[in-house]
Amino acid sequence: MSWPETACDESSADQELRMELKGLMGLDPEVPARPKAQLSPEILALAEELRRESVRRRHAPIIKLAKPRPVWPMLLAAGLPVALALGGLGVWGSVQKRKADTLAAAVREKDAEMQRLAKITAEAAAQVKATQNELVLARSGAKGAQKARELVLPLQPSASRQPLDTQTVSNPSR
Amino acid sequence: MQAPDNTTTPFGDVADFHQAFADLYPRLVAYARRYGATYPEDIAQEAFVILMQREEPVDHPAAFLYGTVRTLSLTERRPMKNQNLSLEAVMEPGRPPEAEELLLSREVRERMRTLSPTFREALWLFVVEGLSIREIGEILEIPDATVKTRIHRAKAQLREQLNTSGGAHVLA
Repeated sequence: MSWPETACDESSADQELRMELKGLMGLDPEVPARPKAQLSPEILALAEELRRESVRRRHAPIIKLAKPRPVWPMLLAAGLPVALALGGLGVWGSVQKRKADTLAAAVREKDAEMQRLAKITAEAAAQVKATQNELVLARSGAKGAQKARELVLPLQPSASRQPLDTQTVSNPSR
Repeated sequence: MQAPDNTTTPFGDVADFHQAFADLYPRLVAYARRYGATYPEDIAQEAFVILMQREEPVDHPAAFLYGTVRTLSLTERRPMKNQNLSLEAVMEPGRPPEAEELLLSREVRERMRTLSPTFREALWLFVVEGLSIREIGEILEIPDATVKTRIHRAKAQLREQLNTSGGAHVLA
């Protein structure tokens, strides 16, 4: 046989191993692994048919049965979840920002209210203090005037509490 | 790149192809049958057509044919069974392949069946099909060293079985 034989590029060690294994398997080591086959008309016809088929296939134009699918639906399908996620994140962020702004405005309003109340309280306290001062002054003025008009007389000591070094005398004018 | 003309084949000229086809076709059919192919003849013929229509030359045409037959047989079975096929299931069809029946005695066939399917396949390709270590590596898509290891382990197991059962008549 003229077509490339397997054993041509085999080492002698491999060939010996094959012979040994053939013996172990009960095969005749002298019988070649690939005996030359007879070329029957049927085999020749089949071989020719296959050869022509291979030539026909080799020269046949490659017909693409399906059109190449556009890429954009795939990209859209791949990008849609990402876009949805980003959009959702944006909406959530804007809602959070609106909440934060409302809270900040409420805090500012409360702060201003507190300052206003503190101012009112301070003014009221100052007014109370001033009134108290006026009242004190008025009281002290009234006390001075009353003191000037009064005649302070010494108390007559009682008989029972008469000191020893004093003597009770009768008033001749009475 | 120069396109191959119609008279050149991977085996040489047309006459060489005819001879190679006559030699290899029955073996490839038997090899497809070993894998449980439903249409082994179709698979072997398709392998030849695939090889012949290739633009790039093939280093080992016989190995390419065996590898293509193996792949086509496995892919033919897979959708029909609709299940994950193990090599053990593939290599153990309902009845022994005809080539084994013709070539090997019943005792040796029994011993071969006790071997691991991976060892058995490498052994079959090396001894019965007469393929080289490199070709078997190409067919099974494994390194040459792995092929050698499998063959040597198969040999050791066969020798051990021979010693325990005293099968001297096999050697004779």
